[in-house]
Amino acid sequence: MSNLPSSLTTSRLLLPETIWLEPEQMEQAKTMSERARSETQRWESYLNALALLAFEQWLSDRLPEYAIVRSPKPIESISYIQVNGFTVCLLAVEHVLDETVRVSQAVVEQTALAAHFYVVQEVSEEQALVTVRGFCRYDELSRNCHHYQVRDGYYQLPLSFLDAEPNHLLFYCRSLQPSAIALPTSAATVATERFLGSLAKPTTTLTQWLQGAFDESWQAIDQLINPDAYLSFSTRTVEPGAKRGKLINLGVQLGQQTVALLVNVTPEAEGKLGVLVQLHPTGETRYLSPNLTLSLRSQTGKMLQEVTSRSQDNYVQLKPFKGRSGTRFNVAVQFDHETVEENFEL
Amino acid sequence: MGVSSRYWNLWCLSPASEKLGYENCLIPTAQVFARNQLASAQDGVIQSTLLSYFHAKSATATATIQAQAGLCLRCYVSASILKACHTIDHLFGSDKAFTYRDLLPFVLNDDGKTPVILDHDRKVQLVVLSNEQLQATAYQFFSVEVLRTFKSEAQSSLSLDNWTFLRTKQNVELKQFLAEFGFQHLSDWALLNRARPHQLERLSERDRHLVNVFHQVYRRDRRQQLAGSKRCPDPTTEQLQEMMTDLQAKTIVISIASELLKALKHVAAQLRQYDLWSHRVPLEVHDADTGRDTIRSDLPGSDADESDLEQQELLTFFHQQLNLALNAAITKELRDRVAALERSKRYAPLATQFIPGLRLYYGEALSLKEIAPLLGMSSWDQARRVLNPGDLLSKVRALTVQRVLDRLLEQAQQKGFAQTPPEPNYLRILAEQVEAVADQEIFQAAVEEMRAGQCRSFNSVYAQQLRLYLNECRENQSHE
Repeated sequence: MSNLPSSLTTSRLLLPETIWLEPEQMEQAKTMSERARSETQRWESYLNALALLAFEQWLSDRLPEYAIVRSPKPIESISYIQVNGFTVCLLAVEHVLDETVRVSQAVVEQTALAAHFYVVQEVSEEQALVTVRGFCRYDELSRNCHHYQVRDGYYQLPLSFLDAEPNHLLFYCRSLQPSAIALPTSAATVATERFLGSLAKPTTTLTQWLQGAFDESWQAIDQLINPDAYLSFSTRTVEPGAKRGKLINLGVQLGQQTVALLVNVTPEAEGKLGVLVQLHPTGETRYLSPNLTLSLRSQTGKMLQEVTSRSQDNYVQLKPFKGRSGTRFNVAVQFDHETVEENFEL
Repeated sequence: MGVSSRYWNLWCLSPASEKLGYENCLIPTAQVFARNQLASAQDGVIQSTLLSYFHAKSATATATIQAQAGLCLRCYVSASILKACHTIDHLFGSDKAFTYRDLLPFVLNDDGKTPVILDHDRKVQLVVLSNEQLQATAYQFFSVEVLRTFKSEAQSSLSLDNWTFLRTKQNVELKQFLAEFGFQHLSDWALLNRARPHQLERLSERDRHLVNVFHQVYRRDRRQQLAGSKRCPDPTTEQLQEMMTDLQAKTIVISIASELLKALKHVAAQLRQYDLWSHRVPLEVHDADTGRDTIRSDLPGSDADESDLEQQELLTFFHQQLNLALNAAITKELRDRVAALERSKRYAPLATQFIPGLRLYYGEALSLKEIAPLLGMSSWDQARRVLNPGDLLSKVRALTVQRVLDRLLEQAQQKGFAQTPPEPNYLRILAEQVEAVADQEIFQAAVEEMRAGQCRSFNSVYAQQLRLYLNECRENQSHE
């Protein structure tokens, strides 16, 4: 098969994929473009609407078995549709005579705007004609886009970068799983997943400590660390409150050495609680191993504080912080690739 | 690997109007030269070997040998010139006033016979006479012109293919033709509407202001015009007045509406130049390190590994499927099209004319213009929208390929050649293979006969199958 002359290109050159617009569609596009702010944007928006209507028609003619759903517009100037689990970003241009397609950096780089496919359509308004010029996949675009010049926030992609056979888009939509083209995960998704994950783990409620109720995994501090350190922890926290600690084993990485996570909770004004978190060596060990990281995250996974031990630290601590009852947070101790997390609720 | 037949097959003009306007001619002199002189040449150096023969780099090369090597190169270049004309046609979009056929005479003017070489300074073309005498010639072969200006020595120069494309786009006569006919299908006002920053920055500052002001007023009103009024009308006096007021704010004083109209038309005339829209070096990227334009190596598709596809086994299977798929696709697409017309508010009354219309198109080889009045359609535009033979062909092609692709994929998955679901690249490579064979066996001919000029006839496999179905429809109707 490989020796056959490829007539694909010539076929496509002679038979472009064109869609004639009907007066109703032009009327609809006018309505859709009214909301844009400036006249330049309204015209842009009008052309985009024509491209969207034409593409919906083209696609539904060819994939009648799938629902085609318009996505709410993340940005005014670009349309998105969903088909069979795939997101398609529609880019409208007025001509391709310069053999260049301008693609906004945002639609490639911003997770909320990324799509499985980017379709380029040429809109000839006066002729009421739309031509599907080609498309590309997210993975190809994100891998190659840095090769191309950026002007005013737009990649200048050569037209030849596109797959000029629009039918391939149909084949992809029918035969692939959306996960075959991995889209960047949004920070919101990461945060949600982390949050959902954290709910699954046991949570220590610190308010209960003030009432004298402790989970048995949290021990009195003098049982965990050497007396000198205990002294320093006690004298620094003069306020009345509850102090407890937990042994943390980071396994082989630390040569079976354990560290103690100490938490002190105190009642504060306006019903808030104050929290101090420290990390100490245990037993007779005087110093923490270097490069141990102690971090604090919000319940959605946002990093709030982080501190890393140096070569001769007796202990490290997070800056004392306050919060209202019910607030959730997460403390993590990390060494190398090993992480131990503790979830708390005030 | 032997030498590519591109080096002895010349694409040349074919005046017969029912054809595509060009044909492929075997050039025996070039073939003999390639077989004798290049038999031992390594794959990658054939072109450079020919170029050094042509430019007389070898001490033993006579003018005749130079010219023969040149003839091989002219053959090679002719394919790129033809492709360039197709591409320019394609880039200008559908529904315009010219086709690639109009461009061919400017650039595809090689007779494939005359022995031609260049003078020592590579300034002029010289004809080699029978006694090895050289004669300056007024007639310039464009293919030789491409070779004359091609600098193969520059280390990261363009490939000969890309150089040919660039030179074809820059051909003076071709550009003059495009200035006249390239945008003829667009009114001055549509052309102004289309202008974007890239075009505007090549205009004078005053002209830029004119276009910007025009956009603000004309585009706004254009969207408000009644649907169906396609051709952009001349700006009204009110519109021109508004533009003049806006221009005053930019300290451009034009006080008579007709003056502004003239000025805008003048800008539109400038916009009819192809140079304003095209790009100088489209296929190469500028390498900041070397300061040169280099051929990109990063285009997708180059990583295709066809050996993965267990080709022979699938190919046999493929041929069995192809005709079945074509017949099924024709049946389905014709039914779908009639059903869609029946559902359409605008075209429902014409739904019954679809099959008879196609019969006139494919059976009697009538043009859409001729068919329109016969079927009670109001215009060529309406016939084109209702019958739309290009769209039908396009859909049948998509569905045929899809059906064969589905069967092949199924088989590939059963045999463990492909994953379930497939990898995107595997799917694309497989689709491209199916398209290549389907185009070669069915669709290339179908597309070409549709694009052919007057006196065309429809003899392709596609047209034959379509006619069979259309005639069945007639028999069914007469039985009812």
